Order: sequence, then C-alpha cells, then structure tokens
Amino acid sequence: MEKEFFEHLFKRYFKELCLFARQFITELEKCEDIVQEVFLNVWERGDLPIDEKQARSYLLTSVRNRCLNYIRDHKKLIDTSEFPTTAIDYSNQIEYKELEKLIRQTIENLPPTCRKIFEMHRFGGLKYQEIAQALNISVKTVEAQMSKALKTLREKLEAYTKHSIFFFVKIFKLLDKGSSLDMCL
Amino acid sequence: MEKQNSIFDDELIIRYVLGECSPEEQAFMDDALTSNTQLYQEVERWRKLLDVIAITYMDVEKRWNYLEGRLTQTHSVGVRTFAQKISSFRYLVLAASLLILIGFTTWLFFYLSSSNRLITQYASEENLQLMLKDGSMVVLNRQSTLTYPVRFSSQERRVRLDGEAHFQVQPEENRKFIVETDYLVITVLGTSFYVRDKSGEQPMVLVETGVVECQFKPTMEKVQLSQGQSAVFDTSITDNKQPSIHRSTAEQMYNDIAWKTRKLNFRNEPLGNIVRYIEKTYPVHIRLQGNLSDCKLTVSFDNLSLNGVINVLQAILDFKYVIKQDTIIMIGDGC
Repeated sequence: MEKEFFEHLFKRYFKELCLFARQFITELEKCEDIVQEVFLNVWERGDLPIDEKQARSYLLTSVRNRCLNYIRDHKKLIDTSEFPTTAIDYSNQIEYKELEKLIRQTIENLPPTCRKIFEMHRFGGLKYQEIAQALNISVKTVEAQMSKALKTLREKLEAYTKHSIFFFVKIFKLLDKGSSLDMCL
Repeated sequence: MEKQNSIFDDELIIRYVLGECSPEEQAFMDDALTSNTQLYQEVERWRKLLDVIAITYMDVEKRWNYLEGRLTQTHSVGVRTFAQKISSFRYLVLAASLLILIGFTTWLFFYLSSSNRLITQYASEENLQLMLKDGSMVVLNRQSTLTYPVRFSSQERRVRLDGEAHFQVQPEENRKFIVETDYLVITVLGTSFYVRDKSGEQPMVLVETGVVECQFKPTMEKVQLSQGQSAVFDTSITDNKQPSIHRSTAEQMYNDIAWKTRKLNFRNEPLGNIVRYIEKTYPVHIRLQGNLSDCKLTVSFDNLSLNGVINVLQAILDFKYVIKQDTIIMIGDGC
C-alpha cells in the first residue's frame, strides 16, 4: 500500500471513525485508541482495498469489530438493539462532513459572549471560576451561558440526526459481571 | 427528562458532565447514576454531545504525526528481533531467497495492479497542469487535489477532486469520464468544464463546451448543463431549508474561474467583494483599512500580474498600501 494513500485515508476518515466508535464505546480516549490501532493494523497487514470507498467500508467494519471485542472483553452489558450494524449504509460519505459543518456553524452562530465562554471552557480548558474572573462576570452568568450553548447545540443536532448515522445509542451501564454479550449480538 | 426525575434538572446534569459540580453534588450524582437507568441515559446523551464536539475540533495532523512515528518504529523493531533469532548461514540463504521472492512479487505486483494503482496530485502554491493517460488535460487550482488511477478501467474514467479544477476531456464514446467530489458526481463523454468543491465555498460547475450531467449527492438530484451554463450547489441546511441547486449562465460566473483565466470583470461592485476575487485569483491576502470596502467600482483586469491589478486600482482609487509577507494592506479614506 502506498503511504500517500494511507495518509490520505487517515486524515480524511479519522474523525468520522472516532465518531463511529463513539456509538459503541463511552470513553472518547478509548475510541481514539481503537481507531489508531485499526490504522496501524491495516498498515502492517497491507490489506487495505485500493478503492477509496471500499477502503472506507473496510475501516468502518474493522472499527466496529474492535469495539465489539472491547465491549465483550470488558464484560459490560449493553443494549445492542440500536447499534449500527453491517447493514448500515456505509456508502453515504457525505453525512459526517455535513454534521461537522452543522456543529461548526451552530457554534459560530452563538451570540458572541456565549460563544466565547463556550470556547474558553471546551477548548481552553478553563473552569467556570476562571472564566468568570477573566471576563469579570459572575459564575452564575458563566453557567447560564454554558448551559444555553449546550442546549442550542443539542437541539440542532437532534433535529438533524433523525436521518443520519449519528444517533444517540442507548447504553445501559450496570448490571453485573459476565452477563453474556454474545447473547445480545 | 421525565417528571419523576425532576430533581435532576438539566442544569445539575450539565454541571455534572462538565465537571463543575460541588463535591456534595458530585457524590449525590455518582450515587444516583448506579441505580437510575434513565438518568444514566440522559447523562450519556450530554457526554456524547461534548464528545462529538471534541471530535469535530480534533487536530488530525497531530495524530497523524504520532501514528507516522509508530509506523517506522514497529517496522525496525520487527526486523531486529527477527534477525537475532536465526544463525548467520541460515540468514544468508534466507536473505537470498527473500530477495528473489521480493523481486518476483514486485514484478508481479506492478504487472497485475498497475491498472488500479492511484496517483494523488496536489497543487500547493501554483496551478498545476496534468495530462491523464487518456489524453485529457486537467488544470488544478492552488490547494487542490486530484486522485486518479495510473490506467483507467475499460468501462469508465473516474477521478476524484478536492478543490478546484478545469477539465478538458478527450472524447471517447464508450468510456464516460466521471469527476467525483464530496458533493457532486459529474459525468461527461468529452467536453471542457470547471468544477469547484472546497470548504468555505459553495460547489460550482461551469461548462465551456459540450454537455455534462451533475448529480448533487445530498439530494441525489441530477442536472444537465450545456455550453455556457453553470450551476451553484447550495449545501447549507437549516430548519426549513434543504440543499438545492441554482442554475445560472456561465457569464455570471466568469469571475469564479479567474484562477485559470485571469480575467476579472466587475460592474458597480464594492471593493470588499472585488478583493475577495483577487485573493482567489492570486496567492495573496488583502486587508482593507479606512472606508475602502464600500467603494463601488466598475473595472476589469485581463491577464494582469498582481502588480498590474494594484496599479489599476490605484489609478481609480486613492489609497496607499504596504506589503507584509503574503498580505497586502490597503489604506485609504474612501472613494
């Protein structure tokens, strides 16, 4: 496999694959690890299809399998009825890009103060207290703005996601050890 | 959230997922989550929202650099342990047979697969002219990528475009030429046309000669364009608006292909808009200071250098300019 093509696939699909993994697994860091491992694996095996569409489907399927293995090995009981399956239509590459665009647009369209507070918290890693001090406003105001930003985003996304691969998977944490996931699959 | 959970109001849940709870709230929520499935789901929805946003703003470049480092590492480690395991004589025999094997498989690989190997061409700082195997000519705009196979298949000639390009397709009756972008699939037999599909601008197709068929992926809608026609594809989605196609004549879009033609034509257009087109045509950023951006001008630039363009503008308008790296700052008091 040519490295250029591999690099192209990585840069183009990394985020989409992370989002896909996030449908199965609740820890974002673990999702990133899994997607990295999948890429590392196909590179070492060199068995990635040369056609980009097929390569994408192959990557999606690999990520899905790895996620399911991870869930099985960690013995969490999960409701799989809403999981993306192999039957999902992988052919529509456009959806992730649109989702990304929608998120960026929604954040850009937030009122300036609201947006600033949101970005300071999510991307700057600042706490409410620190933001309040920096902007010389009350912690309550920061909280209200943050809450407003998140609610707006959720509303927009949920309206959009009715016809998209991005949906909220029900995950029942809990219950006990060993409960066989294989049964659900 | 259902009524029975009203004690867990949205504000508390949001504080919790953002890690902004007081220690008492934190303990209370941790405890409640172990028994309340509905609450768990609600918390998970908010977490997922935060994660989806985090994914959107991920730095993929950084992760690629990290992975690229691991690629070479795993290879060298693999070779060392392999070499240590075998004695020197066996190593020689093995090396010789490996060489033969590699030679043979390489030959076989090129022999068998050269038809579907892909080439990726990226034009970074200036336009790039390419000739494809079938004789078709492509001019790639700056910051655009074209991916195509070394040899086209016998059924179709398919290429992939990210960015902007002009195609002059060699006519072939039995083999369609297909340009695929994120939003469009453009099918032709032999003709010349422009395609644009890059972030920050709406996708566009403009036909110079012949006929092309464009399929707009979000709606699957197809539109036929012939000589002198153009279409802009509106990809934005709002609550009551779906993506849609807007047709126009090629003339209305001529400024959009100036990156290749170097012909810009403006009638009573604010300078603010004019400089946007200049930026698309020449590798330069322009900042306007003072009250320049609302000045309306009627002006045309035909195949001028950037210097020429600035000189023409200075002949019409009163302004000074300074150049900082790749940015020109124009300063003036108005029209």
